[in-house]
Amino acid sequence: MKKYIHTFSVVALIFIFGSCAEKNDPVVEESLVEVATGDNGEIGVTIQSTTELFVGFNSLSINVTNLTDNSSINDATITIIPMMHMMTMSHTCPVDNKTTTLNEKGKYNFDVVFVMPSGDMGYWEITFKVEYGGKIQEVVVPVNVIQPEETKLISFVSEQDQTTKYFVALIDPKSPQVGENDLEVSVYKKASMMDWPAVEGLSFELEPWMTSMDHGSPNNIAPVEIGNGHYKGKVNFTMTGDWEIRLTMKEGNNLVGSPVFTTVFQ
Amino acid sequence: MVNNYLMMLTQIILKMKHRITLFLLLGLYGFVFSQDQATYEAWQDSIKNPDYIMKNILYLDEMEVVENQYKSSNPLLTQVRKDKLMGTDELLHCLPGVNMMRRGNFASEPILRGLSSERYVVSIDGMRLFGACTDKMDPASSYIEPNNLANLDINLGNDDAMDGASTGGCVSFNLKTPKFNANKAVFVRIGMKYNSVSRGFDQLADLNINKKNLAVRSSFVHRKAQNYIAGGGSEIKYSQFEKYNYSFAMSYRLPQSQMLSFSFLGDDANDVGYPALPMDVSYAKAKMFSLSYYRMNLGKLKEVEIKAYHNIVDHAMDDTKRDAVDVPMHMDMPGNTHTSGLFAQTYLFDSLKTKIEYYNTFAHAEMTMYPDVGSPMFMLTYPDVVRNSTSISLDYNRAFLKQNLLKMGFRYEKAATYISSEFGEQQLNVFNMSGKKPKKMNLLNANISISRNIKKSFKLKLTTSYGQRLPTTSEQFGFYLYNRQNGYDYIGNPDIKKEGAWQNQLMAVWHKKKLRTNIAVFHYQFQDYIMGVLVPNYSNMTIGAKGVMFYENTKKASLMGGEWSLMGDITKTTHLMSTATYSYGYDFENDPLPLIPPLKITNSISQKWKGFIFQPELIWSNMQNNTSVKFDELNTDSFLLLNFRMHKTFKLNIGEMDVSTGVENILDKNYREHFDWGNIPRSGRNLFLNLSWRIK
Repeated sequence: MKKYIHTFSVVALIFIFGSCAEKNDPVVEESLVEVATGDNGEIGVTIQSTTELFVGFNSLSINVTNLTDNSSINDATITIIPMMHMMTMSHTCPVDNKTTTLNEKGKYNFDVVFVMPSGDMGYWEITFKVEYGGKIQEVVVPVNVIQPEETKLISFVSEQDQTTKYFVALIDPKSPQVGENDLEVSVYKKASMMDWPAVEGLSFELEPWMTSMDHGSPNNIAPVEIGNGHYKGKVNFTMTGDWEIRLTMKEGNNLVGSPVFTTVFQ
Repeated sequence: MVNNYLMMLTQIILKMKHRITLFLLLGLYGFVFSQDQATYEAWQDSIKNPDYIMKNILYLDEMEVVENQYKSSNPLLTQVRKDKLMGTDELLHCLPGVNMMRRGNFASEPILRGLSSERYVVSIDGMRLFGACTDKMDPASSYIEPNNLANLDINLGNDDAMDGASTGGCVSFNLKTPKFNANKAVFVRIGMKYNSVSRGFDQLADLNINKKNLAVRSSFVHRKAQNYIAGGGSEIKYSQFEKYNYSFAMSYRLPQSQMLSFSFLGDDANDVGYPALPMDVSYAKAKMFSLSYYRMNLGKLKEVEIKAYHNIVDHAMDDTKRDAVDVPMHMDMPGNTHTSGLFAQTYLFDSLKTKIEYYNTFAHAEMTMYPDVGSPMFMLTYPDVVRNSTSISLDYNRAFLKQNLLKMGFRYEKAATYISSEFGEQQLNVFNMSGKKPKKMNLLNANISISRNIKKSFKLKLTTSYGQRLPTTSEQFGFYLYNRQNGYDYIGNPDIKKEGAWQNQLMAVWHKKKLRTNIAVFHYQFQDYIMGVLVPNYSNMTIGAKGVMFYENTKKASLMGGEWSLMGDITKTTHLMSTATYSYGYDFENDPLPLIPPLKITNSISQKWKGFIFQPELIWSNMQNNTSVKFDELNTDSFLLLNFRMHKTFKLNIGEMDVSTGVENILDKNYREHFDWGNIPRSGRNLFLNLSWRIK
């Protein structure tokens, strides 16, 4: 009889524990793709980014090559000037760091905020001023900038003076998910065609909103200044679907604007 | 209804236990005397023959009741078995201290002394089964049909924790097992019932076959009801339902009083309307499997039982049948639970009942909402919640000093609950909480009671107990669950603590000649009482909801009240039965607790006449104005109901035919009970007829 019990228990235990299993999704790191290249006969410049260049905040990784021996140039100081060429005029756009040297990852990094897409209106070029070995070389690289499906850059005229044009770029979340997401925006204004400075000293209010059901989400952290015109907070999404990230931007107690980013995720 | 009270009381008096065991017969809805006789004889037979196995763990009570009921030879007891073609809902509703919370005409949720399903344990032959609906549309009791029940034990209060840790009691369904009866190899019953109020038609079939050491039992029930008509004549839309219940069980006797049993029970409900909720149910399915081994004696161990089980509940809500105006947005809301368990129980030294139990349960529920414009929205409402529980329970009974009985119980349980879905974990991060790491809880339940015969005709029983319970899946990990009753979204609290309750109960039973009266008073003091607390700055998820409630351990809550009953033969042919029940409770801010039933009194008389039994019944319920502010509860009006039922058994050549008929709610009163969901009135005047035929 003991044998029976034993067998029975074992069967029963297999029965019970058989059904529980856990699964873990692997995290894939985003890789860089080449978006544009150019050269001046002596040196070549390759622009890489995680996606195609789009209207909004883009992190560019630059490789510079000496074309005579195909070696990488790692000791340069590079300055960039993005330029939109239109029929009657040209203008540049905000760049967080106009001049840079090689970073620890072996790349030259630039954060550029394109303010309009390439197209019938005009085209974009980035001029690279590469200073190395005691001389400065210039390389002009044409780039294509698309309008992303979801708006990542919002511009508006300040509520304060009704003239200054502000640009707010959504940096994070890049691929929003249900739960807690980092939220980062950067803010610029257009001082002139060639001057797009970052705006510091702003304060934000934040309300994520699910428009199809008219509700928000709890425990969000409104973005606060981290320097260089960047502001960081947390945004929570309680479900998948269409969300709005509603921001209210203030300078002191005065309303500057109320940009709203929309995002859809499954 | 009254008959059930009566039966219950008889038993209380006879057993001196504050435990209501309602015996049901082998036939559907428990009603045929002759079958009962056969069962009883089979048991007599079993006792004499050492080769027969007795599953005394369950059957001792049952036998006792059977025996006592026979001895009392009370016409009402016979009638109750013959007369009622009841669903589980109706059956439970008959017991004092038990009310049935309705959300429609189907799957009511039992309320024990004002406590709903969070606070009591539901056990089916010792097995755990958890509903899969986040809106509690499918309480475990909805998957059981009375024709599958051998008996039903209800513990009001936690004075018996053998079946689980709770702060409010236990509802134990004990399923029928195949019967061994040397004299009758085949038993067949068929029956049917018609209810005019819902144009409902039910059918059943029961079959029991036994040969030598093998016995097989199978049953089938089909119920189908249309929308019912409330008192005054208005039709309650979306109150229809249809269900099938089917079972198969097999027992095989081995030498040395051993037995192996297999049991399967299935229940499929389809197209179930829930008028009190914004949605209906397209299907609710349960499948239960169990394997058991019994042995009478094993050294010092008596009545050893080992059981392994698995059950699956699958449930989906449905809003496609509703008027478009009432559905702001179409949603899919499926859910399922899987529960597996293993337990072993035995009597040590004859009087110490011991049980070791393990179970694992998994709950998944999701919601996808489809807006007219925009993308579908998805969330996990039960984020793949896993719970493991291991426990040991002891129960000790001892007689001392002549006719005094001491009972002590103890239970210790270790449980761990976590969420196994990454998506669910992300959802929780919104609240800066996590559920990935198991939340561990140790539960302690202990009780002691003393019964004392003060006089021959007067007995007293005092019980003191302490109980703890685990939070439910909804309370711990539910995600924006909409409560239609008060209009708030509820969010579970992963860090919630266990709830505890001290309980004191005093019961007095007095009987003289043919009159018996019983009075019980109780006081429950809850600690860390779990309830939803409003979070003012959270925005609701459900369209039209009033706000968001978050489950918290509130400091305390109290519940008190009592049950009283009087029954007896006034003359040789006339029997009287009266009951009264009352409870009152308040929370940590002295606000009344929600869903507390008001004072309710029932009176009935049974009159025998020329083979007929006539039974008029009067039910009165007081209004309830002690309503919970936090729950946004409505007041409920007082109501008076009048019922009339009659019964007769016809002996035919081809078997026995039981015929019951009657009118319920004769006055066609439009009423609702206080704890009913929504503002939906209950059934109006109902004419019923039921026939049950036991084939010779």
